[in-house]
Amino acid sequence: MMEYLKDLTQLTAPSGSEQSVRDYIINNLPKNTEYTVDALGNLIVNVKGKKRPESKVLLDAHTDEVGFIVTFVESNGLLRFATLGGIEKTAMLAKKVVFLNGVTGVICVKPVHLQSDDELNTLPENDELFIDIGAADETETKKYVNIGDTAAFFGEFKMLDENRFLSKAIDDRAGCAVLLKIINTYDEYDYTVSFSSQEEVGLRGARASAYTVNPDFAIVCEATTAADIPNISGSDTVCRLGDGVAVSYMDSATLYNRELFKMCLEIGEENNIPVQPKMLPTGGNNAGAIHLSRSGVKTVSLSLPCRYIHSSSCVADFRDIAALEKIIIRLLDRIAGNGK
Amino acid sequence: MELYENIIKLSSAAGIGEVAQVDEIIKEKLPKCAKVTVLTDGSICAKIDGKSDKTVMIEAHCDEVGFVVREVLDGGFLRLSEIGGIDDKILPSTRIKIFGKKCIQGVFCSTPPHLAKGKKTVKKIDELFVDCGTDVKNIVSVGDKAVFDIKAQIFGNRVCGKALDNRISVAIVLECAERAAKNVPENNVIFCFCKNEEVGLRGAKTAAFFSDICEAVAVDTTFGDMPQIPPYKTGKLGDGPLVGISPVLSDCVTDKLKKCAENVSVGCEVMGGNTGTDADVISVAKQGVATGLLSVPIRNMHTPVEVADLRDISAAADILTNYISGGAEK
Repeated sequence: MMEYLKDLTQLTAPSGSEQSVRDYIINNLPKNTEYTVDALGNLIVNVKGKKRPESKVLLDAHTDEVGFIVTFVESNGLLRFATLGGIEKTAMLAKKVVFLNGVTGVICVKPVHLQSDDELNTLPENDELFIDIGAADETETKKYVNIGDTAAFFGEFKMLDENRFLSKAIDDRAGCAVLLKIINTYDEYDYTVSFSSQEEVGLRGARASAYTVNPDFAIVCEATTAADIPNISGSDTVCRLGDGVAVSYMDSATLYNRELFKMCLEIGEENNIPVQPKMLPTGGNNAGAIHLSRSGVKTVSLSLPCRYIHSSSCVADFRDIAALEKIIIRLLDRIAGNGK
Repeated sequence: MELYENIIKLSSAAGIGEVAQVDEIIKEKLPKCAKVTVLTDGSICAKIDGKSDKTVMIEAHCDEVGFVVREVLDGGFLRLSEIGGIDDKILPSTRIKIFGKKCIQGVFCSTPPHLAKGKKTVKKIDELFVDCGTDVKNIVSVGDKAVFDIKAQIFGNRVCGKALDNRISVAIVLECAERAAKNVPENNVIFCFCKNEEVGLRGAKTAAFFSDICEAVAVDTTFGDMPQIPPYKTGKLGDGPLVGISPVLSDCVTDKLKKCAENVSVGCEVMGGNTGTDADVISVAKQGVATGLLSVPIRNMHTPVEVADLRDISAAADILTNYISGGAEK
């Protein structure tokens, strides 16, 4: 799992350019696993188990990460860009990015010495932001990067202690790593896994894959904001690192199935798997698309608490990932066994 | 090329306060014939004898902007203060290395969007915390130093990394010392690597008193061309280093530097008074020192992603080598 996690977080796969993640997963599927790649780049894996399930279950994790797309090449060789997904300005300023072809860029920031008091206290406008790839002019830049090319954050994987780790793209490569591990280890019942594209730009891939799979139940395997940092308390923390899997009751895209929410907390308690309710109804994920698919799908979101999400340096806890794997397997067992 | 390899090493190393990784590299790279003296503040002076009795100084500050720990909190969080001028806006999700009992990793917390109420304001470093992921009370204490955590890298003709201000100049001066060791210089030369420039030009103030120097050149970085800055405040990357022109600098040394740039591209940087570099304090040491300034333009100054053009760096090394070998007198 650690190996999957390290490898997957370090791939460059912003929304719409998820191929490297898809290929990695395909290469690590057990032999003879049946899969398809659809028009949107969703990788749909049908796992054949020992038994036929009572209900059809879809597991979902998204393959894309937040990133950048080039909108214009300036005559001085600098690139204008738009973001793919929600990225705070402070998370971009003076950070490194990597294009799909491996070219490095940096997001420029006006030197502190030359900023007025006003500038020091406000964030720059979008039209003041540029990516610099070290080229002298437009011609040199265009040898490497052109309009429409995409990039993601550069952010190496590092362990902070035996459990905590630091990396870019933990959202949602952690989910991909967990589901890939489950595919390789769990085969009690048949189930389907969608490694979905374009989540960060509006839950797009999952809309198509949920239609294709046509499940009775869906389990969305995600990473969510943890704000358990100094000066933030109570439900504002959303969830806490090391306290286990965050189970959503509501977010900006979904009012979750109450029964499934309770079932997850119950399974956690019964099996000594750490779980916590995701306390603040903020954010949104593929559950928003999946639960509205066709005539509706009973859906639950199980998330890894992740600090500084959508940045080059997210922090998460490996124990929470282990818990995520365990609870998904228990939940799958229960739903597939006697669901509906 | 050794000059570029040295830049990568020097940029990636830490040199702030008592953290002296950079000093070790400088001492290792200095030519054997140089007489090395370490001053009370840690500034390094390396003298190579020349043909005359005159002594000139070639100076580059070797410190960098960074942080100092002011509070160690529960759960692996720290509060820091800045050392030198750093833009608070760039800090969230920026990685740093903290030099406690051992070197550990930290990252500046960013407040998630759902808690940014109303208009987004810039959080000052007092309100930001550093997350080390794990309790560090046994490792980190108040007063420990930290720097940006990033490895320098070459892309195209350019180099990107932290502390290019002023490690590119350190590499340039080391290159000049190397060449001076092979080719006896016109005058005695003190190659000087000073501390504490970023907190007020302090190292150069005392280093300039170390020996009887009659002339000096400070080597530093200046603002490179960026769309956000008017062109008259910057040097264009790739168009060569800039010779400083200012009332506090010696016209004579300035002219010599321009003359020494015979084969390489060079520009001028005009300032109305103080240059904001070590040249300001070297020039008023003892009975006064005729001082010049040579600057390499960099983008994104004082961030982890400063960018400089390798050709400007090579050109600066060539100009100074020419100056040291008496090229201006010929």
